[in-house]
Amino acid sequence: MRYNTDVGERSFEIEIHVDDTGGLWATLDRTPYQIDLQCVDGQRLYSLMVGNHSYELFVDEVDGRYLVSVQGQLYEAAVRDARSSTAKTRATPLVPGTGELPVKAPMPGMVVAVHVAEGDEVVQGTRLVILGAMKMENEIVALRGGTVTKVQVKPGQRVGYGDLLLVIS
Amino acid sequence: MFSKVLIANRGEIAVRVIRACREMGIRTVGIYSEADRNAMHVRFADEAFLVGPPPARDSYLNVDRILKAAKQSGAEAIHPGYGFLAEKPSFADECETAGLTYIGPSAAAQRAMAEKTAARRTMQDAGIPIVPGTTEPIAGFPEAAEAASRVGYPVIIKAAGGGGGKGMRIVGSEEALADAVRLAASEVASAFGESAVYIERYVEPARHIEVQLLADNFGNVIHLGERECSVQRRYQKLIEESPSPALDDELRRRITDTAVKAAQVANYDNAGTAEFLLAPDGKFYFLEMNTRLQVEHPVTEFVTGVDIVKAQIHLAAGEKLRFKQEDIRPKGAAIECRIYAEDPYNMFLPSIGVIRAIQEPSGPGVRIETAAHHGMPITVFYDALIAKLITWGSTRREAINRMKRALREYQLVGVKTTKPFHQFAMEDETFCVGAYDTKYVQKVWGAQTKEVEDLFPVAALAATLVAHAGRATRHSAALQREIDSPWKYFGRREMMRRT
Repeated sequence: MRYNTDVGERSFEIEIHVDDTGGLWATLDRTPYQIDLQCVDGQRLYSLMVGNHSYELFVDEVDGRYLVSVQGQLYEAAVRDARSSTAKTRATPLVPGTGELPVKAPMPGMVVAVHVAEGDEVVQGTRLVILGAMKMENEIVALRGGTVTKVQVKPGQRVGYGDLLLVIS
Repeated sequence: MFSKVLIANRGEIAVRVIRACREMGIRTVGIYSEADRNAMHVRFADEAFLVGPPPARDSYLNVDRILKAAKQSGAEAIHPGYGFLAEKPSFADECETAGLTYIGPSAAAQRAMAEKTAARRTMQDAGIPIVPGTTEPIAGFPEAAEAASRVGYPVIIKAAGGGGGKGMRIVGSEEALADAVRLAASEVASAFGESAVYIERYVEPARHIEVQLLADNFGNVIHLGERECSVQRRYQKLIEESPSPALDDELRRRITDTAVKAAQVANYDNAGTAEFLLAPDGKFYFLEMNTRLQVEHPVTEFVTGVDIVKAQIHLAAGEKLRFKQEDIRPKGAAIECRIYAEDPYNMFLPSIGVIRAIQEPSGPGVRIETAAHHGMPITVFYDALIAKLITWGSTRREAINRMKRALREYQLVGVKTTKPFHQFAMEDETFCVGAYDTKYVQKVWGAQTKEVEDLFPVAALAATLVAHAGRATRHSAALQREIDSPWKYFGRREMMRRT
């Protein structure tokens, strides 16, 4: 199942699927996370495990919108079924086969490591950048082969959602 | 000692006073409005009396009904808490007439401080520094203009009959003065029933420092150190702490000595607070005396170990002060964050609703004063204070770290709260080094409208997963009963689909 979920001014593409062993996965802006969600009190208190990272949350549904309290911060989220809402995202392929492929930060965070330099040849799956976010290290991998033509970030740098990390041509 | 006390208040402060009474073996009588039948203070009290409809003027300010409840229950004393009937000398008089002890300063002491220009004269005559300005109410514009040009612009116009920010107006020039005096007077008239205002020089940047005082009827006055309350919006405090990071030992000694002297010249009794403005040059000025228990009293209790509410009750019962000044040895640092039902991302405007889920912080060095509970409506009838969160540390740094931890533990859904502001402040350099003043909120927060983005992905994930689980459970309610988690069910369903 694919969803488009808005929090604040950000929109996230989230896909939920179950692997062969029955494990639950959520792909958030193209990065897959192993998920375990438990409702603790049968009402609104949840324990969410993202990999081994633990979050305690209250999630409350009011008129189809979701109020989420996590680490003392309160957020409002709108969850839309991707099938019904975004024909346009379907129409454009996720990864263009040729030309420039900008690699952007899927979430705000800190660049932990940059594994490639300008001029490097990469293939699909090559580790490009390690981004520390949500208290985890997230691997950003090449979604397509090519040559790294531009590296925009260095370790220690903070990046925002959607900031350009590097470009593959 | 009293055997039964009526608490003429609601919310967290009523709960606070009930707790003190219970520890002292005193039975408690609560009062409530029709809106508060399920409120925590009603459930906590030994007895409770309905005193009227939701609006405060018909219930919590309904003196006749309250005195009747006191008589009917056999209470011997009344604690007013803060707000409502606190700082209303006429209520202290009425208690006395009804043969009840008012737990707080005498009507005379309250009156001496309630009329602000008279209090300024008293203090000035005793050699206590006051903010330059008028010591008589202003009659009209020519007089205001003369006074303002004498003290120098900018000036602040204040209500002679009350505090709380009502009617306060800052004026930068003589051109703006006439209108400001007229507007302030009409605002003050609707709030206090009389239109008298006075003028002070507007000291800025300034810090708001106050000194907690205890006085008995035997001429003994001691102080419990100071509280710094400069973090404010709309002249209302958001964060208080003790000790103040702005004072060194010498300045602390001078300001606390001055506060004790102020209480002595006013012939003050019971608990009170002397408020001062501290200018950047180290000069401080007496502002006013709060003749009640302060909202922020817990920070002082945390560092001194003195239970101020119990002290009030002992003093009202006619006892001598149980401590001498040298017995008071403040230890460590305490900070209080006031959690209001307000939206900090929208100019701290009130947020009303029902608390749909709540988890309060606890653990070492954490104290929470609250009457909030799951299902509690936040209405327009009463103060929007949901909780006071107070932490103590052996150092200020530890108190700040504890506050960060406690704020993170404190989860609340249903209304917007000031928590995000507090979480910001506890991380903010200016606050952490203690270099803030009364313009702090304006300067660092201003028109902040954006939430902290770090947790956006987690919030998005959680909302999506819960929405998705809702779908899965709705599709097969029968199967769902057999399993303990929607996710296990969901997994099994997906597995079955594959095979």
